Amino acid sequence: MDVIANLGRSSLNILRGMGAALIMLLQSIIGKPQPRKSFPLFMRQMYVVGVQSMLIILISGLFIGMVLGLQGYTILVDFGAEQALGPMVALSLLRELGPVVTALLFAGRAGSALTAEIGLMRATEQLSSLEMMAVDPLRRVVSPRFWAGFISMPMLALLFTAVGILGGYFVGVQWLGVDDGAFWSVMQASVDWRDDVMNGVIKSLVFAFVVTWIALYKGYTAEPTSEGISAATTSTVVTGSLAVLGFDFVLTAIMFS
Amino acid sequence: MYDQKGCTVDNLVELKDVYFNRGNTVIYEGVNLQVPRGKITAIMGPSGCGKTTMLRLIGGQLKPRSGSVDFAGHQVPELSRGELYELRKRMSMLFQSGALFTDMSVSDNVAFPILEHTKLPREIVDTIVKMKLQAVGLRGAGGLQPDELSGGMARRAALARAIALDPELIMYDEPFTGQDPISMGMIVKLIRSLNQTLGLTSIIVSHDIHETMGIADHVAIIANKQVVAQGPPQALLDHESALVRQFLNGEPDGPVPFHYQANNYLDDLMARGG
Repeated sequence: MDVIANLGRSSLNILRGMGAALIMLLQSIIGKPQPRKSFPLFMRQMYVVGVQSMLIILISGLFIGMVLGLQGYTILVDFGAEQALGPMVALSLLRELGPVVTALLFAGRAGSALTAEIGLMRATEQLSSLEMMAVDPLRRVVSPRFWAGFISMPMLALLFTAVGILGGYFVGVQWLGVDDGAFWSVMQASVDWRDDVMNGVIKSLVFAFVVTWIALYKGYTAEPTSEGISAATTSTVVTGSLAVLGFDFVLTAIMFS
Repeated sequence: MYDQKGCTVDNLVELKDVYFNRGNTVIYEGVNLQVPRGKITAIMGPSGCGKTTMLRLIGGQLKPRSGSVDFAGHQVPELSRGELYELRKRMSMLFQSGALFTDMSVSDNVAFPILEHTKLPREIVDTIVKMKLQAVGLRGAGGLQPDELSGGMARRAALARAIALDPELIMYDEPFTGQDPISMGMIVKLIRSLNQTLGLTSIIVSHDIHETMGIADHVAIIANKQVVAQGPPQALLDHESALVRQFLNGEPDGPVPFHYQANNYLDDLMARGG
């Protein structure tokens, strides 16, 4: 009986948490727009969340593209199909690796930082003091960070993909000697704008929404102690990454099957 | 409510029969509190009796289970989100940690509430900021970042921010905790002078009896989930309740026992030994 009771209790807690997270999100993004106040805050967060994540995204993209080039070449060359290296690199990056790896890196780099920052603002009473100054912390703190994460992650994923394709090009064409024209023209012929590029962007938008939301909620509800903030940060990365992988399967099943 | 001369005084804040729980822990059972307008009211009591909770109830950050919390004729727990935010522009709170925004300079911290709630041109805001910082003696520190300030300076800077919009009520959460004697003296002086010059109503939550009794006009003592006594400081010093006297005189034993509730000492030792 205890097992059933515990199961029920934890399911209820999960549902309650999801409800609270939804309410937090709605309260922070729905309301009268105040572009004069919120735009500078949003731009600042775009810099912190987006621009400052660029380095890790670009370097990872380059290396993953180079590895794809190398691995793809050694497999394809056995079949005399090294001309197909271009589409192989491009499709794996556009459809899967670009959105997924970017989201995982984003959860680790920007998501954990968002959680820790908001958690510390709660612990040092900055959020309470905003409330007492009649400034809604959801609109002031949570909302600009949400939009910045939601908009910057798909852009980062596209950059990741572009740099990855370049990495594959350097290894495949410049180093291993795949024909330059074949690499690009076969890629152009086999990549579809709607099916491949747009589906990748849609995946990325979903991941951006989920990861940013989780990071903000975990920070906003963190216990105001050092253990609490550390647990919340870990939980952002773990929950965020698992959510990305789970949604990736669902989205792939819908889009490509 | 009467002052010492027997004249009626109106109350800016009034709590009536307030019950409040945190989870399953009962914090208040039927609390009644009056905060006279234009005076300094001190809320005192042992650690953990829920003094800060009282401020959060008045500020509407917490809602009581039942009872009324009245601020200037408004029932705080019944207000909508928008009305509550509107009402909060008339009150202000100085947090224990200061709660300065760490990503802004001291001047920008003080300017923040003014820029948020008024449409004044930047030059006028800068002038107001200088005046507020001058009032707390930190005009020279406007360009510093909060992490460059000492604890006492951070609290004074936060005080400048708290008075930026000229509130009617200012609530001090443990303003004296962890201060050296000099900054303690400065804060005592500031609370008193701000109260007199700006005509503010002040609420101080504290367990520093000496400093608080020195400046308070009205004192409420919280213990056992209730306000056990309230009145002018002098009247409380010779209050009939043993608990109030124990607290105000800082006696280690009395109605609040030195020992946490435990089994018989001898039995406990024998049980361990056996």
